[in-house]
Amino acid sequence: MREFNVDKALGQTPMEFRVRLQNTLHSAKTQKKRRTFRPRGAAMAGFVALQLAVVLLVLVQFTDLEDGLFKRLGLYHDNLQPPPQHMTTGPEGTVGGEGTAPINEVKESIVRVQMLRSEYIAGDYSALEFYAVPINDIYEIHAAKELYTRSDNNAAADDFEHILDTDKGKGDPQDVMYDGTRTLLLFDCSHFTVGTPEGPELPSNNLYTSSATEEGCPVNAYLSLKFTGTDALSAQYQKDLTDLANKFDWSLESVYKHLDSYGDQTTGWMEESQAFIDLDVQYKASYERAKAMEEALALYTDENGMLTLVMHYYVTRYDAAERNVFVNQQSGTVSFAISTDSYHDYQIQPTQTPQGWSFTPTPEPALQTLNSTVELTDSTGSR
Amino acid sequence: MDEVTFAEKVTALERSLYCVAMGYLGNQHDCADAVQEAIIKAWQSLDKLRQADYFKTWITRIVINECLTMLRKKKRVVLTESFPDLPTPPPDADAGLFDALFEMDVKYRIVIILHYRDGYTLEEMSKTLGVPVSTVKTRMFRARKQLQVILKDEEVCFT
Repeated sequence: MREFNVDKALGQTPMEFRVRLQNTLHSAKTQKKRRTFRPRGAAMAGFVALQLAVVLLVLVQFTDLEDGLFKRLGLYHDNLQPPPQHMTTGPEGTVGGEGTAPINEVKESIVRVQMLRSEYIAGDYSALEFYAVPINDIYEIHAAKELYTRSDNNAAADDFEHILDTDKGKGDPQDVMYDGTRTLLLFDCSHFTVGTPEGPELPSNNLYTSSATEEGCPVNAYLSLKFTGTDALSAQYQKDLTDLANKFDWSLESVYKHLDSYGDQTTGWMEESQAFIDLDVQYKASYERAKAMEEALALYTDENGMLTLVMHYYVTRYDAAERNVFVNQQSGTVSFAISTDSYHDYQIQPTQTPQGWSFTPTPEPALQTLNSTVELTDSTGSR
Repeated sequence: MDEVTFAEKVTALERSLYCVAMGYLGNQHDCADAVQEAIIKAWQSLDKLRQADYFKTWITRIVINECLTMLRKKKRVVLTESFPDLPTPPPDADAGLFDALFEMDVKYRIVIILHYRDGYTLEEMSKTLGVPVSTVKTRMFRARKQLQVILKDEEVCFT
C-alpha cells in the first residue's frame, strides 16, 4: 500500500508566496471601496431628474396622455375585485359551487363521499370502494380516468374531441352519459395520508379509480379504487425498513468499499457507480420517510388495529370547450379507518328509501368495524 | 469583520489557500498572483459575507475563481478543466506524488486536496466548488480510482 501525503506532494509554501500574502494584507485595507457621498454626483443626478420631469410634464400637457392615464387608473380601481379565497387561505378548497364564483361564496358541496368497503391484505393488495354522489341532481359523476382526449397531437389545433368510456359505450360525453342533459363531474383520487390531511403520504405504486354502475341508481354513483404498495400500511414493514437503514453504514469510506466491490471489468461500471452513489442519497431520504411513516402508523392505529387514513381527491366540472379539462380541479378529503390486522370485505347494497337512495353496508356490524366518516371540508371549515 | 481579524483569518489559511491555488495552477508564481488578487477582492467584498463561519469556504471559492480566470486567460479558450502539460514539482516536494497528482484531471485533483489535506467535508466541498454533494462524491470516488490507475493499481493510503 502506498502512502500518499497530499501536503508533501505540493511542497512547502514558498517564502515569496508568504511575503506577498502579508504585503497584500497590509495594503488591502487601503483598497477598500468606500461608499462616500459625493455632492457633485448628487447635483448631477438631481439635474437630470429635473429635466426628465419637465419633459414628462410637457408631454402630459400637450397630448391626451393625462386624460387616458387617469381614466385607466380610475377604471382599474373601480373594478378591483377581492382575490379568491383559495389564494388567501391556501390550496385546500371546497368541492363544489359555481366555477365562476369566488370560493368563499360557496355554501354547499356538490359531492358527498363515503367509504363503503375496504379490503387489505398485507403484502397482497388493497382496495377501497366508495360512493361519490352529487348532492344536486343536475350532475352526473364518473371517474376522471374514464375521460380522455383524442386529437391530432398538434397543441395549437382546436381539432380535438373528448371521449368518455361508460357502460353505454365510448363516445362524446353527452352521448354516453346516463343522462346527457346533466353536467358531467369527473372524480379522481390523488393520494392518501396517514391520520390527518397533513400526515405523511402513503407510498403507493398505483392508484386506479374506476366507475361502477348499480342498476336503478339515479346517478352513476359508485366508484372503486385499487392501490398497490400495500405493505406501506404495515407497521412491521416500516419498522423493518428503518431497522435496515439503521444498520447501514453511511460513511463515505463504506460507500467506497461497496463501489470497489463492483470491480473494474463490468461494462458501464461508471454509470453503475453513479447509480450506487445516488442510491446512498435516496436511501437516506427513504429512511426519513419510513421513520415518519412508522411513527404515524403507531400514532393513528387504535387498540382494535384500525388505522385512520385520509383520501385526497379532486372533482372537476367538465367543460367541453376546454382541451385540458383537469385544469380547474377542486380538492377535498375524506377520512376513514381501515383494519390492518385481517382481511375485510364488506358489501353494500343500495336501497331506495322515501328519503332517497341509501348505501347501508350489510351485514350491519360491518359499519361499526369500518368506522367510515365523511369529511367534506370547505374553505370555511364546516363539514 | 475588522482588518485585524481579516488578516488573522487569511494568515491562518495561508497554507490551505496556497495548496488550492497550486492544485489548479501548478506553479508557485501564479499561485501568489491568484491568491493576491483573491485577497484584494475578498477584502473589498467582505460585506457580502453574511456568516463569519463560512469565511474559509468563501475565500477559498474566491481563490478558485481567480485560478480559473487565470487559466482561462492563459489558454485564451474555454476552460476544459484539463491540464495539458505537467508542471514541474517544487524543489522540496515529493516529486513522485506531485507528478501523480498533476496527472489527474484538475476537478479530481482539487477534491483530493480539499478533502485529504484540508479536511473539507462533502458539504463544504459542495459549497466551495459550487456543485451538488452527489457530484462531489462522484469526483472523490473517481479521483481515487484515477490515482490508483496512475500509480499502477497500487493501493493508496492517504495520510
